[in-house]
Amino acid sequence: MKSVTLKKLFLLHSWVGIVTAILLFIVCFTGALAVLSRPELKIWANPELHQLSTIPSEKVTELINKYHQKVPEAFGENIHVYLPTGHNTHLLTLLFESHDGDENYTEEAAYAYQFDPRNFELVKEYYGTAAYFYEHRKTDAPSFIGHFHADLHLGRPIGLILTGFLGLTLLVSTITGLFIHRQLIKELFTFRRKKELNVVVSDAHKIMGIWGSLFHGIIGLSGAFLGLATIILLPAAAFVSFGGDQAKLVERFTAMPEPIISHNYQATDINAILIDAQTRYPKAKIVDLTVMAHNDTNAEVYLRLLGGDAVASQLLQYHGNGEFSKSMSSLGDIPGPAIKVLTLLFPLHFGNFAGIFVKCIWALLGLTTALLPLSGMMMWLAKRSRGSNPTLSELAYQRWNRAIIGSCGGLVLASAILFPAQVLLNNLVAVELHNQYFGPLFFYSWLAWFLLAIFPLNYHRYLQVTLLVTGVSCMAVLPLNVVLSSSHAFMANNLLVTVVDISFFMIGLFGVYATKRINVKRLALVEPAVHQEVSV
Amino acid sequence: MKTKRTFSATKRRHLMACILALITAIVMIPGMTTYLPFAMEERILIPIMLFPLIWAGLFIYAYMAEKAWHPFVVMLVILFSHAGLSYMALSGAQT
Repeated sequence: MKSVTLKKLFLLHSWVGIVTAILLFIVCFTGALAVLSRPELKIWANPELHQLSTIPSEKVTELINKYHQKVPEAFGENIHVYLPTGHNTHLLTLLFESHDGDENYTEEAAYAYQFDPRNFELVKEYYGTAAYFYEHRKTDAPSFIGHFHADLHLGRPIGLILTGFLGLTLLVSTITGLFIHRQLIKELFTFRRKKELNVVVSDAHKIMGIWGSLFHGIIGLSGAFLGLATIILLPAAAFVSFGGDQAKLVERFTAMPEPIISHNYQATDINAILIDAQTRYPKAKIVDLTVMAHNDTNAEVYLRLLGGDAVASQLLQYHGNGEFSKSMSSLGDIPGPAIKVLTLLFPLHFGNFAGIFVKCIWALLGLTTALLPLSGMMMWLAKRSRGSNPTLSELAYQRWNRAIIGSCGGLVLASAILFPAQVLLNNLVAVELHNQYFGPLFFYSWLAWFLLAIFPLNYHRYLQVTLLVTGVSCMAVLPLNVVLSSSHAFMANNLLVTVVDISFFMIGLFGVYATKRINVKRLALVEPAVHQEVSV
Repeated sequence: MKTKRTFSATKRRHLMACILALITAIVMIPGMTTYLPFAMEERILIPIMLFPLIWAGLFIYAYMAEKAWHPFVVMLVILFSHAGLSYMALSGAQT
């Protein structure tokens, strides 16, 4: 390849990296946490899910039939049942929905009933718009981080478009990075950890980039698709294909079309349907079900399944009499190989296709994706601040470093704080008030930490304190849980809770240890300079 | 001595890469559905699947092309041809 082409690619790689570095770190770091948020961390965060086994299908059927009697007829046309699996609501939720609203609401309205999954006691009742219910569902630390990763809490479509666009830039950085690091084999095995910090960061950047290039590319591609496809691309493409006919478009791309209600009574056999699904796919988990035209001869029941032998989530369709109709992708019954590839993008992005081991690998690889723009930016800054004619003054270099630590380190710290806060909230604050705490706690702690960057602090010290506070926050989870909660690492009789509590402690310990190491590294770098000065 | 710059017309290339490439890639998606020789669903889904790669290709081409007007012309041709195809498909369906 010509040297000018390489130079162009190198510049392009640098520009894209510099412009998107901090945002990319934010999205990728929270994405790495979000990999483990559902169901693992969500189960940990909600004591109601700690001792959970499969909900008996007879009980689900009984509750649907009982509460269907209590709602007006129109609300029986769409019944959504969210099972407390750690994938959506923390309580067993029945949502009776009317698309056309009722006398009080012109938009979609709903009656919702939520039950404690341990004893099926009714915990919460709701009547109002469906959108309000979904928007104000109880959140928790892992769900908050997961949503932040998806749309940066900017709402849809703006947030989704932004994260989708960041996926595109990640893809460009991955492609250009592979071209500029031509000595792939050599760089794959070069890590000079005893050299000065700049060399260590450069080697780490290349190793993380090249070893994980396939992963980074897939995350960029799937992230761009998830962000942009449903908001811009699919509506635009489908609109042209159907000649602007919105009704046809919706009909074709709706996974669960509305059945025609016959008004002839026939009991919907939800119990038999749940048992049949569990028999057909014993290793898969039923996440939710949608009952349409309940107790009508034309009733249809859709079950969303995760895990088992299928890589992607699947949708099972049953007729109301319990007869199995078909299995399809969660995007609907669309023929052709393209839909199969598209449905694979979801598990490839979330890492939820082969158990917890793959999820842990995905989370670690996600952290490397987050560290790539950061290390790239450090390299860029270091290059401009050294040599005989540096373009970046020492003061500017320090300001840049503080800004990076404030924004990126601040995010890590704000995320870490949410977990001990979750333990405190679970034990000291009423459940209905939890949602009010996460946003302010996360954003204000992040903002406060970022504002510290304005002051002329020593950036090594700033980084040290950031790591220390993050480490202590993580370490606090285990003792707080032991002191306050009856369901903790040593009592829960739940391996997941034990592993999560101890993992937080270990991660915190590592953060505190890293604080010490930074100190040593700094002294090691400062000492030769002092000796040199003396000899002069 | 005049030093040779790596990129010619840097500002124009930035504009092309950041704005024109994105608009072109987005307009290409519905346009492609009008001529791809596949079933309806495939015609819609394949361009969507290709979108990230199309955008990345256009973005990189905006910088890598030797002359800045090359990607400009290429993108404009793609943009107008696909916009025209979409318009024809929509107006044809309504008449």
